[in-house]
Amino acid sequence: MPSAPAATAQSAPLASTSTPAASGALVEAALGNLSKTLHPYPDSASYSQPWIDAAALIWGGADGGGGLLAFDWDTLDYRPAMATGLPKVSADGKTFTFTLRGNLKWSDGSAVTVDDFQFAYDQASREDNRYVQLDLLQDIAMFRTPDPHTIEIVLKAAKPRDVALGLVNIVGPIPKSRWTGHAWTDATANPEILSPSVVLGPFKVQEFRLAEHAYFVPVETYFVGKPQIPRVEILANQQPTVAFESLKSGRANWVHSLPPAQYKEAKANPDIAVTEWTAANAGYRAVEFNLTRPFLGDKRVRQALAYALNRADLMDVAEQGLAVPQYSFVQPTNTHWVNGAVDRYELDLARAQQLLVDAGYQVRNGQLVGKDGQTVKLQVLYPSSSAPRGKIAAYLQQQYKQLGIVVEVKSLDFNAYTEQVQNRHDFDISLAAYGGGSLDPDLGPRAQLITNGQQNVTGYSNARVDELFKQAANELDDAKRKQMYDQLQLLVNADLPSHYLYALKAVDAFSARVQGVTPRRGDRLDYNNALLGWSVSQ
Amino acid sequence: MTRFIVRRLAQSAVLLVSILAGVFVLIHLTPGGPEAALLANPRIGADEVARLRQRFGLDQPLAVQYVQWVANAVRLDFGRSYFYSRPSTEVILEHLWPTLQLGVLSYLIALIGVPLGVLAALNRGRTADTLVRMLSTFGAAVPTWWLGLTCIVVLNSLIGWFPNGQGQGNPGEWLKYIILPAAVLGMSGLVSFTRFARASVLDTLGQDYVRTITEYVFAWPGVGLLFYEAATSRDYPVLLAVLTMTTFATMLGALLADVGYGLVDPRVRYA
Repeated sequence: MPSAPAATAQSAPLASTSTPAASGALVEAALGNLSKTLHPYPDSASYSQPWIDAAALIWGGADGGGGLLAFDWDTLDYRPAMATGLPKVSADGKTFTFTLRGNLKWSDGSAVTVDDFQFAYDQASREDNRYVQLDLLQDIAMFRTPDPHTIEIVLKAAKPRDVALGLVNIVGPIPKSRWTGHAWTDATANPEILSPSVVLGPFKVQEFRLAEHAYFVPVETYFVGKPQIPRVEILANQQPTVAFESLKSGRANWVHSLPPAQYKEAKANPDIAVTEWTAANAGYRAVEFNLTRPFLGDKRVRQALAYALNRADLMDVAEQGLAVPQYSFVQPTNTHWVNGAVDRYELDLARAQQLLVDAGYQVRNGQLVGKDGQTVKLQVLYPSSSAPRGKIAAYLQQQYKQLGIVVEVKSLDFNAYTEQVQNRHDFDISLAAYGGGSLDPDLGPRAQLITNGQQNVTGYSNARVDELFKQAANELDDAKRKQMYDQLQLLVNADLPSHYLYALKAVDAFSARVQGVTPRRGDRLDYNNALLGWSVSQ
Repeated sequence: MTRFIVRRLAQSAVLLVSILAGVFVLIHLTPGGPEAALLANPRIGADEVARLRQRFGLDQPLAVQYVQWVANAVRLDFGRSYFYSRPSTEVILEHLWPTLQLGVLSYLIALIGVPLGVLAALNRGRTADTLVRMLSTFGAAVPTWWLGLTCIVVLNSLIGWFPNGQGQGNPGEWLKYIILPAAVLGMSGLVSFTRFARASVLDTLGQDYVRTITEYVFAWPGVGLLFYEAATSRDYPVLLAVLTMTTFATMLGALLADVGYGLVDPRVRYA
């Protein structure tokens, strides 16, 4: 299952022996729909945020894991979960040996066994079963269970510690007795896909009506402990206005990802508690330049465009101030990997104008023209579903006008935008959003920055950058890896294929009756099995 | 009359094929296929996207895709939804019943416009007439989505009388859920009935976008909401199945209406 931050008993906020206090239901007014599948190993078409939300409840762990290890979003390191300890690692760094805890139970009270892990791996690693993270599973050379307590995983090649632990932790168990003989991907033939009868996580499905709502109730046997909340309700497809009004009226008591437009009103309401934090893996926004366009292919031009922007203004205009400046491809809060010494490209219009002159451009009659006498025009592209990016586009239009550049702003629906930017590379400037997921730069930014990378939309290519990313992916010494990523951040910022703007604060709003909510350093509030510590006073 | 029906059936078949061919091409030409959104996920590589396109049959030439789709559609097999991983018809049927409930009740509410119109006419220039005219002017001027949102905020979120979603259980519970979206959807029809413009009523209630907006705003789990989701996620099998069924239903309705005219009105002759 994708990632696997389940938690350990010793670190859980609630001990399994504690007596649950009287508590009401947690009712989330969700802005989106519910997951279309509850399969523990979804395919790429089904792997979505709603799936992650549901999987966190029923399969354990905040990222739909329920794995041998958990990623601790306080320490930003792995810790044991369903394993008794961290794995023993062979001298060549390829073989990881885990011992399974003895008190693991499915929601029906039956024991979780190593066979359930083996069954899950055998099924998920089959290409025809179309697991979304199949490519990562293919880094595993062998998965075996030599005895009833031991799981041994052999990687094809040694990897840096965090990357390797992430890989060996992908596989969580599946109740073999329920799934054997059933179709793996056909929801019509296998009722477990839409309505799992046996689950692993802190909650099980009570009612799941796809277009409307889902109700979950606690699992008595969850190995970390039983939640205090007697029921989690997710009301699907709520309009932002409706969700917020529901919160105010008490019909709901949680709105995840509160829209910035409602932030001030929520803060002023004494019955609402606003929780805001900047995660180490926060989402962030960037201005991406298409380097294949002659004008934008010149580094001095890109730098000039960066110097024309003021991050503080942008954060106010587009995000109501709910952001922190970001200066490289690593979020400022990702303290493991960020390099704070990169060039920041703070607002400096005079320098921007000089850089354009150096690049051979002049302003005539208020318009920037090239050596060929042609007026410079740019198109800024963004997805219409993102109101903040619409505001950024308008801001760019205003700022670049001061450089004499005519800017056309264009929005497209999300799929059409992605098609035009990622597939056809037909844009001048794209307003992108990245972030979430893993903290390791090898698992995120690398794909945007290496030559022909999966997410390299700018056309950026630097042999030194490619080489450093390759070395860093294979370097086992974390200190040396840090030096490499520091250097990479300097190199990329000098070349500036993308201008990084800011990392977004996460904002969730609760009824004041919801207690025990504590943000971790991840982008989700339910990391580290936090739901076990939440309660709703009646 | 038999000749007329046969000829109209033949015309309808040609029209149906032409419309669906056009719809099929337009849908597939819309930029950003179902796999486009996946590209934003760094965990999903180019190989997986290629596998996905192959699995959905999108790697075939458009003409081949169309022929395959028609060959399956005539057997009422509209393919599997990309995102539900279930047959499109199964998904649509799940959403059809709520839409039918909503449609029938909203029509009944719209019919209230008839006695209201009569009341206004009998009391021309008096208070009742003024009130009915105010109501009809308000109903005509206010967009459905705004009225829907306002009703939800006031009657659902603030007062808590009418919850969102589809009701289950006893009739009272069911009515509590459906009455608000039905009233909002029926409002435009009620206004038209009040103004004695029956033809325009049928048009208004039949307009897919009005129903889609209403279902979207109220999170009503009907075909309109399903269609909206399928359009934004490019779930081609579901989109095409919904469009085929609505096209077929519209044409069938038109045919039955033509035949019905002749049966009830002797002045109409079938040529």
